[in-house]
Order: sequence, then C-alpha cells, then structure tokens
Amino acid sequence: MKFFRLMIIGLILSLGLVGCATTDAPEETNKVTGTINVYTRDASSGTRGAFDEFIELKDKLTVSAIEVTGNGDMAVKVGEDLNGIGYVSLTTDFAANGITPLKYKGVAATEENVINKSYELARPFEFVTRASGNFSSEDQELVTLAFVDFILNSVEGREVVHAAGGIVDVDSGTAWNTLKVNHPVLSKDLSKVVLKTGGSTSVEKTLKAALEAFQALTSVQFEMNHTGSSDGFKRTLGSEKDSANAIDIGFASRYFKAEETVSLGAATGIYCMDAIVVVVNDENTLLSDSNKELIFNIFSGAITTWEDASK
Amino acid sequence: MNNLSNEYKKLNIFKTYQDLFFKSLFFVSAVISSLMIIIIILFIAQKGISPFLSNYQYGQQNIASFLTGMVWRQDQAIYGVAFIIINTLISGFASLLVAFPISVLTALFVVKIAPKPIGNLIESAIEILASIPSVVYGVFAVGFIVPFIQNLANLLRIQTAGGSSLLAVILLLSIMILPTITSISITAIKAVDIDLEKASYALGASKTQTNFKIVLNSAKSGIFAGAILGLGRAFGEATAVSMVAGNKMFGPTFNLFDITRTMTSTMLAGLKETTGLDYDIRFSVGLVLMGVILISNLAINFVKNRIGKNHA
Repeated sequence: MKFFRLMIIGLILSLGLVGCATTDAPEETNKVTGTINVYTRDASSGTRGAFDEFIELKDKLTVSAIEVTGNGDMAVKVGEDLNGIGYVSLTTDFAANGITPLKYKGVAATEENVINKSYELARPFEFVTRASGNFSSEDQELVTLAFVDFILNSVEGREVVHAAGGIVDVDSGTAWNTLKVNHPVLSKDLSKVVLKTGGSTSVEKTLKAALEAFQALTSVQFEMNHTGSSDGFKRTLGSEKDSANAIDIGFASRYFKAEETVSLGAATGIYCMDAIVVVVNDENTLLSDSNKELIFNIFSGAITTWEDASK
Repeated sequence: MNNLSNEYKKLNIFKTYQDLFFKSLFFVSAVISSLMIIIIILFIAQKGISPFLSNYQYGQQNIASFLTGMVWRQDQAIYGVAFIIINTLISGFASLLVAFPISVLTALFVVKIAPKPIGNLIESAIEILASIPSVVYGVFAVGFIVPFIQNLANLLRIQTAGGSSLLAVILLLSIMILPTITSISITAIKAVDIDLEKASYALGASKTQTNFKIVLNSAKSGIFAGAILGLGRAFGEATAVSMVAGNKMFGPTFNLFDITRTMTSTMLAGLKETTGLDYDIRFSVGLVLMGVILISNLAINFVKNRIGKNHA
C-alpha cells in the first residue's frame, strides 16, 4: 500500500508542475535578452545556398546554430523562440507565424522592392537560349521562343512561377491567348518535340511549374538536367553547346557574367527574382534594420547576445 | 468397386499436388522475406562503406575520424558520428525508461485488474495510439510539447531554443513507444498460464504479490520483446524527432534543455536535395545505426536473462 500511496503523491506533484508551467509563466521573461539563437537550414537547402552567398557566410556559420527541416519549419521555430533569428523566402506568411522581417540596408522586404531592385538580399533567375539558327531544327527554335514568351510575358506563366515561389509581377503580364497567335508553330503536332533545359538547380522548382503548365497547353515534352549556374551558358552558347550535354535553354540563379556573352543567344532575360528575408520573433523590437556586416557577425557567432547586436 | 478406388486414388494424387504446391508457396514467401534483410544489409553496407575506400570518387574519408568525431558539419565536409551515437542512445534509452514502467503497469491493469469493459476500452485506445502516423506525433510535439517545454524552461529561468530540446525528444518518443510496448505486454500477460496464478493464490499470495511476482515474471519474455520493439521505434524515428530536436552540429548533449541530434534525423535532413559525399555518408550513418540497434537489443536480452532469475 505504501507503494501506491507514493505513486499517487508523485502523480499529484507532477500534475501540479504541469499546471504551473502552462499558466504561471512570468511576464518579465518575455523581454528579449541574452543569447541569440541562430537558426539555419540544412546544408543542402537552396535557400541556405543563396543566403550563404549573399552574406558570404560559406563555411563560417556558427557551430551552435540550430538546423531546421524546411522553410515552414524555420518560420514556426523563430516564431516560437523569442531569442531566435533565421531566414526565410519572401513568400512566407510572416504574421501567421509570429515573425517580423528585418529591413536590409533600410529597405523593406516587399515584392515591389525586389522587382525594382532596391532590396538587395535578392537574386535574379536568368535564362539564355541557343543562338538563332543553331537549334536542332527550326521547329525546336520556334517552340523554345514560344516557351520563353510564355514564362516571360504571359499571365499564366507568371502565375505558376509566382505560385512556385518566384517573385514576378503577375498583373502586368499579357494573357497567353493574346500571345500565342505570334507562335504559329504551336498549331503543329509537337508531341515529339523535347525542350531541354539545364544550368542552375535553384531555378528548378519555378521552371518545372512553368514547363508543366506549358506542356498542358501545347503537349511539348521537356527534359530538365540542372547541374549549376555556370553550366547554363556553357551548354547553350559556350564550350559544351555542341556536346551531348547541349540544351535549348540555360539558367543561372545570378546575373550572367560579362564573359558569358548571352547577347549571342536568340533570347535572354530574367523571368523572376528570388529573395530571402532575415526574420526575428515578433516580440523582438531590438532590431528592425540590418546590413551584411551585422548579419554576418550574428550568423558567424562573432556577436552572441541581443545586447551586442542592438548596440 | 474398382472404379471407386480409382476415383479415390485420383483424389489422393490431387491432394498430394495441392500440399506440394502450398508447401513451395510458403517456402518461396519465407525466402523472399528473409532475402529482403540480406539485400538491405548488403546494399546499405556497400553504399555506406564506399566513402572510406581509397578509390572513392569524392575523396577517401577517414573512418577513424568518422567514428570518433564530435562535429557534424556538411558545409565544411566534417562528418563525425560519435556524438550522434551518444545522443541517440541517450534519447532512446531515456524514453524507454519513461515509457517502460507505464506500459507494463498499464498492461497489467488492462488484463488483470480493470473490469472487462474498461480494460477493453483502454486496450482499443492503445491500439489506436499505435496506429497514428509518426508525422502526426511530430505535429503534436511541435504544437504542444515544444511550447510546454519552453514554458517550463521560462519558469526555471533556463534558456532554450524555443523549446526544441533533448527533453522534447524524450517526451515525444516516450509517447510514441508507449503503445508498442503496452500492446505487446498485454498479449504476453494474457498468455500467462492461469494455473500458475491459481497455484500462487493457493499458497496464500495476495493479488498484488501474484501480479508482480508470478504474472510479470512469466510474461517477462514477451514484455522484453515489447521493449526491444519500442527501443527500435525510438531509435528509428526520424520525421517527428527531426521536428523537435534542433539538430545540433556538435555534442554530445546531456542537458535536457539543450538541442540535440539523432542518427535518423541526420540521415533525413536534406536527403532529397543533396548529392555526392553528403548523400553517400548517410548510408554510413545507417550502417552505424543498424550496429547500434543490434548491440542495444543484445543488451536488453542480457538484462532480460538477469531479471527475475531467482524466481524462475
């Protein structure tokens, strides 16, 4: 009987503890002080790749960073952690997760500011096609140009790119029905035509969405083989343009370099932007603006407390 | 007459063929299921060992620093698994420590103490708990356990990573393995020979004495099988754990309120997006995990054989 009495007392005590914890959390701990909890994505994430590139953080991330499993997970975790700081894509719902986006060099993270290029934590998704007359057939070239028109100018194309996380002004696009009359090639049977794409792996999600939408409209096949931004130019106009690796459209998740002479291509341009936002918990009023040096110091572990970060 | 015996013979031959057919069907099924484990081990081993061979295409890794390393940083290509092994053992055995007594006492209550309707009700509740997918547990943990731990930490004036912690992992795993151990314990306790109990009562033992000394001891084998399965689930759980663990890059973690990293969450994180060494090394972790599970099972078996030896 002693045993049971002990168990019951133990049970009551632990219930008491539960009660305290959920109801009597003291108010003063809600002020953000002390250690900064740095949140990061795992090393294979494309968002992390872009962030590391912007902040030049590669290999320098603090070892005490907390790894989360995805963009949504990052938003939830920073929303729960008063001392947290992390980074998410611009399409994240900030308010619903209890996180506040930081300005970068005084510019607020909005789609408008990304498109007009004043917000700098952003990168373009660029494309370039093969040179005119250098496609495997004339139809191949015309279909490629039709797809470029679709992803670049049509409302439908911009819509799927936007839904897949790309930042683009959907409303100023033109309806595909208006555009497609410029592409008489589309009235042919195109089920044997295979559009080949390659280059940056970061563009894959938005590009795949656009290709699938285009396929539904035209029955054109596609083949994506993405290996990195530097291969986008190489495999369309550069050293590998006539090799087995040759593709119709190459992509880069950065501006093309001067030595990448993309003006030789039949078409080139930016079909959307990708932006990253540094976020803190809603309760955190210490920081509202940020810059590369501050973010670098926080994420590399040079600054470890919120007191130092807000100095 | 002759006709009849011919008919009988035909039937007999048919029966023989039928037996033969089913015999081979069972044999083939048995071979397929046992072959699977061999195929899995061979495949994981081949992939997992390859990074440590001299002809590895992404550069040979040092197996000693892999097995003894205390840092796991994919971005710097530093892969040390020792602290992850320790963390996995801590979270697995700690959750077993929490869940095992609760499970065994629940099973005992359901089978021997509770009135039949209540017992049946609890049993079906446990069965439902066992069938909930792990990602649902993960969502529950993120929405309930993690905030609870954050409040607890605030109360104790300890800083946490928003509640993601070793304690969250232990609580989550305890809840997850509870139904596994309980349902197997229930089966084991039900199978105890009623004559043994009757003999115990006849010798003047009370109900509690009989339950603890006779019933539990006789059901020992089944209960420990439940513990092994529960521990296996605790070690093997990846989805839910990676949602609350915080995935620390170094360790080991002994502080209940600090973030941690387990082997399965390490294998899972970013698996879909990675290539090369970072991909292959996950198979090496899987190989180590299988070794850890094997050794843990042997350890539990050893404990089982020691417990209650003087009663048997």
